[in-house]
Amino acid sequence: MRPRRLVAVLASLAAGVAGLGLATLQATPAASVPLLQIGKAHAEFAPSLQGDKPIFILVLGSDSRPGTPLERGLCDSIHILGINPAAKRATLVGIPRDSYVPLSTGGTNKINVALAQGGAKGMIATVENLTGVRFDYYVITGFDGMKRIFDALGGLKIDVPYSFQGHEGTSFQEGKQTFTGAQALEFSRTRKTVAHGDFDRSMNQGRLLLAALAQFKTEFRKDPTALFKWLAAGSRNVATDVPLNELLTLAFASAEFGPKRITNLVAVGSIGTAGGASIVNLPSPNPIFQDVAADGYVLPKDIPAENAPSG
Amino acid sequence: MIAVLVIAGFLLFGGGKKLIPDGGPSGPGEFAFHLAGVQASPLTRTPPSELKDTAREAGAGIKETMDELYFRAFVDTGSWGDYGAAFELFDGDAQARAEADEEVLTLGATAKDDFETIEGPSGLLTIVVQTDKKDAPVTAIAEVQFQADAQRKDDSTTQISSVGSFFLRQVDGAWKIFAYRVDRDDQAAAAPSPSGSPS
Repeated sequence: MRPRRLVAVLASLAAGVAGLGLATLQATPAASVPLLQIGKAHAEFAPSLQGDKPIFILVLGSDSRPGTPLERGLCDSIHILGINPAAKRATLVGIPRDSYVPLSTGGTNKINVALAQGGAKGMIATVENLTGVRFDYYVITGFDGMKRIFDALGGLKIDVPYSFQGHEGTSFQEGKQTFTGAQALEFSRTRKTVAHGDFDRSMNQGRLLLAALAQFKTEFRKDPTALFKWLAAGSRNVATDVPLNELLTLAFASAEFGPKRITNLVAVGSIGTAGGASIVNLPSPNPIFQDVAADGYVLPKDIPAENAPSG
Repeated sequence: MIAVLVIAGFLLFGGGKKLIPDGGPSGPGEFAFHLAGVQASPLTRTPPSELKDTAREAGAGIKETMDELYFRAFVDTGSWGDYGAAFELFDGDAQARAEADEEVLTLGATAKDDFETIEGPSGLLTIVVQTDKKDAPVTAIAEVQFQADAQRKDDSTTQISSVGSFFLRQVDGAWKIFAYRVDRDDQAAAAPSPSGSPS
C-alpha cells in the first residue's frame, strides 16, 4: 500500500436546501410594500481532490456469509477504481474472479482465492503484482453488507442495459428501475445467464457502482445531509482503510465525477480450464492495466471492443 | 387588520430596534439563530436517539460559529467592509474561497457606504451532527435561513435573504466551516406611500 494524504481544495458542492421554506422564518420585518428582486447570487465551496497523481482504490466484494470475516471469503467482485483529480476522470476496471494469476501468498490460482488465503493485504498484493497499480486504499463488503447498504439507501436506481434472468429467479428487465438490496446483489452475482459469463458479471458490478454514484450525486444536490446517510450506510457495512476525513473528501469529489466521466470496463481474457475448473487467462502484458496504472483512467475511445462486453 | 398587527408589532418590538429571536443566550452581540433542531447521524449502529446529548452539545458549539458568522457578516455594523472575523470561522482552503465570495456571504465590501442600519435580523438553524465510529461528533451540517432589513443611505430598504448549507468540523476545539453552499436573494422594498396601507 502506498500511503497518501488527500489534499482538500476548491471544488463545487452541489447542495440543495429543499424543505427549508423562507415562509417559516420568524420575526420577518413588516414589509407591506412591493418587493423587487435586486440580486440573486450563489456561492459554494467544497473540499476536493488535488494533484497530478492518480488515486487508486481496490473495491472488493467478498462472498463470506454473515458471521464470517469478510477477509476470509472468496472475492466475488474485484474492481480497480482509478481517479485522476487533475483530469477529473475516473475508471473502473473489473477483474474477473476466475482470472488465473500468481498469488502473493504463493502459487497460481483463481484470483478470488487471494482474499481467503492472504486477507485484504494478500488480495491487494496479488492485484498490484498483476496490474502494476499501487493502491492507496481498499474497500470491502460482503453479500449481507451490500444488501444492507442499498436497503438503507431506500434502493438503487439503475438503468439495466438488457433483460436477463437472475440466478435466483429474478427477471431483470431492460430499462430504468429501482433495485432492493437483494435484487442488486443478484444482479451483481448472476453469471451463467448473461452472454459473456464472468466478464458480463464484472461489467454489471461496475454498473452498480456507477448507478450508486449517480444516485448519490442526485441526492446530495437535493439535500446535503444525504452525505451523512450514505456515509453511515457505507460505514456500517464495509471494511476500509480510508480515514473518515479523506472519505469525506472523496465523497465531495465524487459529486464532480459524473458517470459520464467514469469509464467502466472489464479486463477480459481467454477462457480455459485448470484442474477441471473454468478459468480466465488474462493477456500479459495487459494494455488496459498499463493504461489505468499510468494515469488513473482510460478514455472510452481507448477501450478495445472486447473490454466492454454486453453494453 | 394588517395595519393593526403592524402597529402592535411596532409597539412590541420598539419600531426600528433590532428584533432578536429566541436563539438562546450564546449568540454573539445582538444576533442569534433560532435553533430549529439538532440531530445525530451516527456512522455506527447506535440509535440516533441515544446520541441526543452528544448532538446537543456539539450543536451548541456549531450554533456559536453560525451566530458569530452572521453577526459579523451582516448585523455588526462595526464589521461592515472588513469581515476578517467572519472569515476566521472558515477552515483551510475554505477561508480563501469565502473571502472571494464576500459579496454573497456578507453584506458586501461597500456596506459602510451603502447602508445606514440593519433591522430585524432573524434566522433559523437546523443542525445534523455526524458521529464517528466511537460515537463522537466529527462533522456537521448547519442549514440556515437568515433575513434582515438593511436601510440604505438613500432611505430605501433592501430585504436581505441568505439561505445556505454549511459543513463544519472541529478544529482546535472550535467548529469551523470547511464547505458551504449559500444562496442570496435580496429584494428591494419600495418606499411606502404617504397614505399608508389600504387596509
